[in-house]
Amino acid sequence: MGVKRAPVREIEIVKPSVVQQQEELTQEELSLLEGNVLITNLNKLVNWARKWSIWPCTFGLACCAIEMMATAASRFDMARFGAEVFRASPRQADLLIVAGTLTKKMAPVLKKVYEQMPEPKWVIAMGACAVGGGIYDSYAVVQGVDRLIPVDIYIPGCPPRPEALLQAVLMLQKKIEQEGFSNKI
Amino acid sequence: MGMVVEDLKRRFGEAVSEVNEFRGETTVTLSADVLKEAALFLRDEKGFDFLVDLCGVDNGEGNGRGRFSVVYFLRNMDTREQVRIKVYTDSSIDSVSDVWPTANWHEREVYDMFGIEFKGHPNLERLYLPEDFTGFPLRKDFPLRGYEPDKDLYEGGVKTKVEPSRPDTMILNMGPQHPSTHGVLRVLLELEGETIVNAWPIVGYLHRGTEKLAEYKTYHQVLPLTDRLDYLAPPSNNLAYILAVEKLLGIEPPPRAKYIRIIMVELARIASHLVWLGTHAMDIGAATVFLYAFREREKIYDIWEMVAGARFHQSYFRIGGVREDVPEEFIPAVRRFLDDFMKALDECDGLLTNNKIWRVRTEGVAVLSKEDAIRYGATGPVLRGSGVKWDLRKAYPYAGYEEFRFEIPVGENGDTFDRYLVRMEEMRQSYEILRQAIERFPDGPIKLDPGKYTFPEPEEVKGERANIEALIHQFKQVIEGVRPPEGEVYQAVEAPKGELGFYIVSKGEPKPYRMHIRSPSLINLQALPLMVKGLKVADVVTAIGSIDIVLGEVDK
Repeated sequence: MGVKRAPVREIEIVKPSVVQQQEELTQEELSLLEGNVLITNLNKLVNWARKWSIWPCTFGLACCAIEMMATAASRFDMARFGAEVFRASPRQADLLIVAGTLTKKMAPVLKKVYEQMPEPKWVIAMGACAVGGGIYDSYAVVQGVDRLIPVDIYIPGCPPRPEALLQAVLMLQKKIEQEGFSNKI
Repeated sequence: MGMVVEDLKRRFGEAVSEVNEFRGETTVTLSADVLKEAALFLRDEKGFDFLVDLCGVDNGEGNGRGRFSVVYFLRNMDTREQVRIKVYTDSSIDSVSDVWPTANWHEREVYDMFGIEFKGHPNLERLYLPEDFTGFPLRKDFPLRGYEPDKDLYEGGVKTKVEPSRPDTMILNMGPQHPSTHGVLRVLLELEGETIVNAWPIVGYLHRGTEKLAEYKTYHQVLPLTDRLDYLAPPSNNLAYILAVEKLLGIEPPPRAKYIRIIMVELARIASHLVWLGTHAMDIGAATVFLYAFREREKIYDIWEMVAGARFHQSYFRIGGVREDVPEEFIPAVRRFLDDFMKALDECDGLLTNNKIWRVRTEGVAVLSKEDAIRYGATGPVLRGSGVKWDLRKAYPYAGYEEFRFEIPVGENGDTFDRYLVRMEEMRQSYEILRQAIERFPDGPIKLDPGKYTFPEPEEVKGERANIEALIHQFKQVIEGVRPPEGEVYQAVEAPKGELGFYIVSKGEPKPYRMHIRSPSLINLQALPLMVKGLKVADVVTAIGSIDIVLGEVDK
C-alpha cells in the first residue's frame, strides 16, 4: 500500500555514460591495457596453470630412473616444460613417473605413494617394465603398473630416451588441456 | 694350487670326496660334517680370509649325494690363491657366518632361494622376497612365474618388524621411496635422539629374478639381463658375463676386440663414478656438481650410442668379441672426450675437495676399518678406501689389462672422504688407461670365428654373398647358441662398484644350468650398519652414497 517502489529508471546503472567514460581513457592508458586483458573461461585458465607446473614425484625404481635424472639434468632440462620440480614427498606432487621395474615386494609401496598424492594427479609408466613387465616375466615382477594404478601415458623403450620422456610430458600437457578441471579437485 | 688340496686331504681324509680341476679352478667337495672345522682350518691356518662368494645349486633329486650343493669360493689375499669348496646337503648345513661375517647375507640369500637351513645363523630370514612368499624360486621344480602368479600381493602394507632394543630409543623407517637411498633401498634405523644405535638395511624391492630367468635363456640371450644389473655401468656387467662364458668355452677374443672392450669398460667406470659423484654431492647438499657430472656423462652416452646404438644397455659385447666394428669417428670422439674430461673433473675437484663443508660432512664419517672391510667381504673402492691395495685388474689380470700401466689408489682411514678421494683418483687412472688404449688401438678382426661362437656376418646370410654354411650357422646360433662343455667357472671383474663375479654351472646344454651373480653392491652394503653406528641421522645418506650402491645389482 504505502510502499514506494523504486522507479525502474534507477536500476539502469549501466548507462552509456560509463561507456563514455571508457572512451575518455587517454591514449596512454589504452596502450597499457593492450595485451594485458585476457578473456577466457575458468576451465582453460586452471588447466593452463596445471599443465605448466607439473611437479613429478621422485619414484625411480630401476634403470629408467637414470634416464629420468638425465632428463632433469643439464642437456635435456625438463625445466623448459615446467616439470623439473621433483618432489620427494608424494603429498607435493602432481605426477607419478613410475620409472623402472615394479616388483611384487614394492607393489604395496607404489600403491601407498599413489594414494598419498592429492588430486589432481597423473601417472606416466616409463619403460618396458612399468608398461608391461618388460623382459622380466618372472615370479617377482608385476607385469605392468596399470594392474595397480591408472596410467595416463605409456612410454615404451628399455630405457626410453630422455626425448621420449619429454614427449610424454608434452602429451600429458595436451591431455590436461582437454580435461574438465572440476573433475579433478 | 695343489697345496691346499693336499693339506685338506691330509687333515680331513675321507671327508674330501672329490677334487676337480677345470679351466685352472680347483673345486674340493667336502662332507657336510666337517664344513665348520674345514672353514676354520682354511681361514686360520691357510690364510683364506676372504669369502668371495657363497651360493647354492639345485642338482635335482636322486643324484646320490644330496639334492643341493652349497658352494663357497675362498681367496687368500696374500698369496692370491683361490679354491672352491662344495658341500652337498638335502636340507640343512652349518652356518659359516661366524667364520666369515660376510656369509650372513649370502646364507640368507641361499635360504631365500633354495630353502636350505643354516644351523647357527643369527638371523635366518628371507633376504629378497616378501615374508609371505610361497616356495623357493631357484629350486628346479619352481615355475618361472611362480606358484601363484596372480596372487594379490598388493594389499599388504609396509611392515616394520623390528622392535626397539631399549625403551628410550625409536625406530625410524627410511625408504624404499626416498631420494637419497639411490633407488629402492629401505633402512630401518634405531635412534636415540639423533644418534643411530643400530641400522637394518632391507633389500629386495627390486628383486627381478635375473638368476632364474638366466636358466631359461641361451647364452646369447642372457646378455641383455646382465646390462640391467649395475645400470650405471652396463659394459662392466657384459664383460664379466662374457668373460665367464669365454672361460667356460676356453676361448679368447682377438686383440682389437679386447681393446674395444677395455675402452668401453673404462668409459663405464668414469660414467658410473660420475653418477656417484653427482648424487653423493647432491645428497650432502652440493647441487652444482650433479649438473656438471651429468653434463660429462652425456658425452660418454654419445660415444656409446655411436658404437652400439643405445645410450646405455648396449649389449654390445659378444662371446668371442664384440657385435660389430667401431665406426671411424670412435677414436677421435674418445680423444675429444678425454681432452675435456680432465678439466671438468678438476672443476668438480675444486668445488669439493678443499671445501670446508664437504670436509666436515665426510671426514671421519662412516669409517670402515681394514679388518672389517675384509671380514665383511667389501671390494672395490670401499675396500681400497680402507687401505687395502687390491684391484682385480692387477691381482688376476683379465681381458688384456696386463698390457696397461696404471696405479691403484688407496685410502688410509676408511672414511667417506677417503673413499671419495679413491674414486676421484680412479677416474684419473681410467683416463690414463683410455689414453694408452687409444694410442695403441690395434687393427684386425673383432670376432673370433664368426658363426661358431657368434652370429655370422649379416652380409653372408642375406644378399649376394649369402651362402649355405653361414645360414646353417645362423640357424644354429638362433636356436641354441653356444654349447659349452660340462663344468663350472667363476669369473670376476673389477667393476666400478667392486668385484662383480659370475659363477656359471654348465651341464653341456645350450642354457646355463645355474648362474649366480656375486654383486659387489650387495656385499658392500652389508657393512652399512657397522659404518653408521653412533653417527647422526643425516650421516646415513652420506654413508649410503659413499658405499655407492646400485639397486639393480643389490637385488638382482
